[in-house]
Amino acid sequence: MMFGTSRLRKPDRIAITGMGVVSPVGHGATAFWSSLTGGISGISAIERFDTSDMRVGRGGEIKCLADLSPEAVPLPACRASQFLIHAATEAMRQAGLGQSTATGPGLGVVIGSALGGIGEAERFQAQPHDLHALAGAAYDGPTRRLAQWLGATGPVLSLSTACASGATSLGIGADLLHAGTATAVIAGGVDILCRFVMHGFNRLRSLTRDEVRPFDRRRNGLLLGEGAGIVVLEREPMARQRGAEPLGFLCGHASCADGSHITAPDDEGSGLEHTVRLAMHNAGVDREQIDFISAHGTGTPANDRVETRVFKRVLGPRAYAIPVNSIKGHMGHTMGAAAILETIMCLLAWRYGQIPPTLNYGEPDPDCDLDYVPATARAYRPRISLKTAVGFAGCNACLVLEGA
Amino acid sequence: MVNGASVMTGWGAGLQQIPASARAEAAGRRLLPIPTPTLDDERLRRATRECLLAIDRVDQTLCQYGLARADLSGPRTAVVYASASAYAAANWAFLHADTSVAIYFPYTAPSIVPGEVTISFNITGPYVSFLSGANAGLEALWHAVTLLAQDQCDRALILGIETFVECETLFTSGRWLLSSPLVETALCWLLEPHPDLVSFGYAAGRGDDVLPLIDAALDRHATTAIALYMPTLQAGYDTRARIRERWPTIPVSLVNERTGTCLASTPLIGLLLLLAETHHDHLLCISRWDDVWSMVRWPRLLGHHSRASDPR
Repeated sequence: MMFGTSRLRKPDRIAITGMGVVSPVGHGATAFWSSLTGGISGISAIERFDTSDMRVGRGGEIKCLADLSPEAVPLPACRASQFLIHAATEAMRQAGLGQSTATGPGLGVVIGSALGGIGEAERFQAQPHDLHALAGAAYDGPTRRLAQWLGATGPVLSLSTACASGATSLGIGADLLHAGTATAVIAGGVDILCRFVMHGFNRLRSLTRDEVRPFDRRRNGLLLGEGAGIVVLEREPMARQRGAEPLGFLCGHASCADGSHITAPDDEGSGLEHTVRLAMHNAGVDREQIDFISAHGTGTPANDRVETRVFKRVLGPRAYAIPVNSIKGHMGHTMGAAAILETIMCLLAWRYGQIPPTLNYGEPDPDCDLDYVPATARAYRPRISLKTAVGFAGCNACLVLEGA
Repeated sequence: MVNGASVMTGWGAGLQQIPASARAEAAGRRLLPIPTPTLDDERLRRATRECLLAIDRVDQTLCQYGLARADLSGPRTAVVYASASAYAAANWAFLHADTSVAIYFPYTAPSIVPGEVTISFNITGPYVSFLSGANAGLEALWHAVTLLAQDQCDRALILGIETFVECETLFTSGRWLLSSPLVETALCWLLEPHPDLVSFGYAAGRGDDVLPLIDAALDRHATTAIALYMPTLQAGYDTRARIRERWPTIPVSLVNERTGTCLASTPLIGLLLLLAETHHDHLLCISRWDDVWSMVRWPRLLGHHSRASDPR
């Protein structure tokens, strides 16, 4: 454990040295990237629970998890914990942080989620004598299980900004590093598909019977997905000192409120605009430096219109000159995992020099008149990316990322 | 530092209502509820009790310290929410609901509680919810101080809401995890910048032994008092004895011995009690949840300009 003090300045850049993915379009960053650029959809009929009483029974469901060989320890029963452990194992390996390194001082864990341990709450409801399920149903259950699995000895934080949680967790992880409270941080997000959340969105009539079509004129709703994304954050000098090669940098972040409505975005997008401007200010970048935007892009009429307005106000004419994409057409809205999976997509775009397409985008909308990367992946290497995320209760988050 | 705090617990309004011994004062009661405030706002007709308690507590804080709602409006106010029970009541209700009440689904998101505060007070500044069990209170305090130190806001509201009534059976099922009585809490703490924020400290980590953590935080030239929260009283007694054995001159209070179980609000109340009742240079507040410790070091100087000499 390390004792940290609040600092007025941020002396070191925050390097991202590892990343791990569990998603409806593939496990592992390589498979994930291949599906995104290949335009592969992870949307299918949900099989793990009954959806016959719902308007929509499709989503980005993960059908099976690969083995975690050579580890012999059985995974916890909690599905969200399983996702996190898979993603973190991949990220730790890439960062060169083995099990022995992980047990060293100061490895922190920061996980964001919209639903926490709700899957375990459903299990407890079905099996009221299963007290393990009850304990796991706490919001922070999946985070604690991940920390125990990793043998982490630093801070263990669970947080929520609803569906923006995966972005906020990176910001909080960076703050822990700046404060000197951790030497490295496993940061990311997770959420699972379950009856609880499907039922809720079904009742809100937010789910589409069509494909998810971000920014398209025909868009009429979202589909849900599940998954986890994890990155390893370190202060750049510390990473380089131990020979780790940064994959990219988290240059700035902000998470701010709309103060407008509990479910709908503020029609003017003023909260999101403030969030994006604050993240850019914190990163020390101006609009001419932005090369790419990974939008929240849910495929709902209001969200995509508001996001487009905000990008145009913040970036001015530059907004028309840079690509904007959404990968929610590929795998649905993975809630607390969405922003971190999209962050990983930004880093991979820099590495491979390609931007994945906005799947199912075909008919332009006069309200959404930017370059949304239709049809196929585009050869382009974005050095500085903006990642936006939005959630219930007026949560907005923005990350400024730089390729290494 | 201007720091105003407004506290309502199952014991009543204000710190002065908190007894010397929760168990003795509870006299066998397992749960001490707090009354639901009546707010005259049609927009809040579907809001959960947690939301109403949070909004009311912010109003009480403003009223106590002579501020207007408009003082909080805009992007320079941060809202940081801490709760361990946050999503239990709304989620448990929704799990058992028939479809006719599914309109309440948005309220299952824990961020709705601070969200309703941001809407009610037109706040558009930094905004996050910490939900790491009982450690969330100190995490929220750390984050609020960080936001102020980084000039991300001019003032930060820390909200701590813990409610148990709606899912009492759920908490009864898990009673081996928490000491009795369960005490509902609504807390709001207003922080503003101070040059000595830089000597505020935060540490956290997994492990069995808290002594190295305390050792790293102690300043040999300053006097220190410690407030400790452990989920069970027996674990608290053991840990307090070990701290006293190592540092016999440092006073150590076991907060939940007095307050009962207020989960994430307990360590924040512990810190407020130390501010109100002691005169040491540094105040260490420590909490434990599962196998994770969390600790802040609060320099007494930060309380010197406080309007909160007697938080009510």
